[in-house]
Amino acid sequence: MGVVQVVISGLLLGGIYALLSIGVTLVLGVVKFVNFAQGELLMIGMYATLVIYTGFNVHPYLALPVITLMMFALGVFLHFGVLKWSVGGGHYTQIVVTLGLGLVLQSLAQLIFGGNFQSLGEGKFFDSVIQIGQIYIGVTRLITLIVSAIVTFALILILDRTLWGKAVRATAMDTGAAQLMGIKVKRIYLVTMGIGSALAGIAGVMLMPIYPVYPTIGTQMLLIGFIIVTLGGLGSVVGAFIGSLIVGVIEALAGYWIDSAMSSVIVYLFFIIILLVRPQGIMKGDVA
Amino acid sequence: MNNSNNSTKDIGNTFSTAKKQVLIWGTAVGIVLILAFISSKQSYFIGHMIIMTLIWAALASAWNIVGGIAGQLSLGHMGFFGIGAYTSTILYTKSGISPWLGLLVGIILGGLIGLLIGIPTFRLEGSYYSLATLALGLSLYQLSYKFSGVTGGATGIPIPFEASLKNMTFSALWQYAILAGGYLIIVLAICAYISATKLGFQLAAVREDAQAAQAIGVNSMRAKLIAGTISGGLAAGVGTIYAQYILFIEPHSALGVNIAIQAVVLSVVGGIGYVYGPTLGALVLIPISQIILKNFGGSAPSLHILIYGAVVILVALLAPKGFLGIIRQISSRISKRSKAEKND
Repeated sequence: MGVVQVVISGLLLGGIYALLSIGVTLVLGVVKFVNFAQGELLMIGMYATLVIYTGFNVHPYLALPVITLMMFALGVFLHFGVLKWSVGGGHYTQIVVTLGLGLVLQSLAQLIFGGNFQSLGEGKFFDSVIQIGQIYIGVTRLITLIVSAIVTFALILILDRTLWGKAVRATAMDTGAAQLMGIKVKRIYLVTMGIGSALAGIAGVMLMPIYPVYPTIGTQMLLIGFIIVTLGGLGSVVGAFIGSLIVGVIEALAGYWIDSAMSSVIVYLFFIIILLVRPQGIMKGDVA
Repeated sequence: MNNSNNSTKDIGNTFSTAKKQVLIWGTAVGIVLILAFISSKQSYFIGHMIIMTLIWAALASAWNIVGGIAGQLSLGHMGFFGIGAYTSTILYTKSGISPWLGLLVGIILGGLIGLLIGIPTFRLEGSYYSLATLALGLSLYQLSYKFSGVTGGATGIPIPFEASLKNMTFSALWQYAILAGGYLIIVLAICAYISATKLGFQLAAVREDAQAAQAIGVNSMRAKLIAGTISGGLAAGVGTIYAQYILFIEPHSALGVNIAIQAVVLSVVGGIGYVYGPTLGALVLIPISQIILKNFGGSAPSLHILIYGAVVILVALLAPKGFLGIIRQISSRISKRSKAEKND
């Protein structure tokens, strides 16, 4: 019974990872942009949730639409102001620039909020639990998984069924050809970066009731996000979602069987194994 | 006519390059000695700043071998740094083995890990090496907490202060300045040697266009693995020197991700891929960050990180070859202009 409980916890954990890594994979697949500041965007989403909750006493889930819009605007702003200059510069320059952006955002958070772990507080509505037989499911975690499944499904529908989605997929496949077909590639880039940032923001909102926030939370989250994207296949939204669940379960099982302090190390080892065995990932690298 | 002209020119060139080499390295030794002298005369703050600049210049230069010359962006150099720091410290504090021997063991271990992490990643295009090295560094950070029986966990390991050359422990700052400066010169000499030899040209070819390099017969995997090994080993050596200077190590200061990021920042700002670029970056940024830390460390402890981030973005976007690239551009323009004036 213990293992079943652990696997379910892992799947729920995967729900959080999915929101982050879908943003990473979309930006990587469409804009061909490696964004190492994605973890910091999640961090901003978490702090925004914290501020809105402690300042205005608004429930995180009610704040979700506002924060999503705000993070979309931030993503667009960052792309327009900083990142677009490195889009054509290759992954090396992109990593350096976004690493620098991450440093700026981290230190700003440190200056404003201090370096301590901060959470929404215990003993509130966040830690209610559903019990099915001998299995316990945290409500906030379940909602997170449901939200990330809805977001994934909606995104796939948009990419698959709308004209705009077709334009995005065309841009991902062949930027030059897409441009020749009259697709405004630069606008697609701008919106995609906005969506990537908004997804990180949603992940931040959903994570905040579960996990405390601190300025450097982004680094580890970012790495796990990229590991999932590698596992899922670069640019594949479905792959990122499935990969998130797999990594979540591996992390939970490693924590259960080996040691909870070692679970992230096991995930990193798993990453090296992916690189050796199947570096192209489980899904073909098309968007959606 | 042309031919004979060229050959005399070549002979002249080789003669002058040999002379130039002696001049460069003589100057380097001289600079280190002057810095050591300054650190013996000036306040503790200045001396500490000089030593930290030399240590960071050495780490960034070691990073530059794989990150700059080979063009493989490592984000895991805190791992190599920490391997060196922990290896020599554990050997010294638990078994009484001299840190000099620990330095060598650390360099070998660092090189080995540098080799191993390259095997699954160097054959892939893209950002996998960056991710895998970051995973390596973060893993070692976690492991240092997990195996607290050996590493001291979060409390760290204090190194006993018994000043002697054998213990690589000194009572005066100038001695550490010579230690760190000497190591920096060794690292720079290895960088200069790599850049000037076949390996350096192979790495440059791989960096600029991996497929074209493969096509003309460069074994890019082998070249990158050598660079990764040397870089990892030399970075581990810096870790030992850092540990012996601070006389205390713990996971955050010896294995924190900020170490790797700082190595990247210094190299980018100074000039990635140039032998002396990272050193220039350290000369500019480390004193600035130390002064900021001294004046604002209490009220705004992360202000220097903010400046690092902003400078890195600006340099990477506006002057991708760093400060040294700007200096070279200006000096080549001046020399062109003076030549043109001569011709007139």
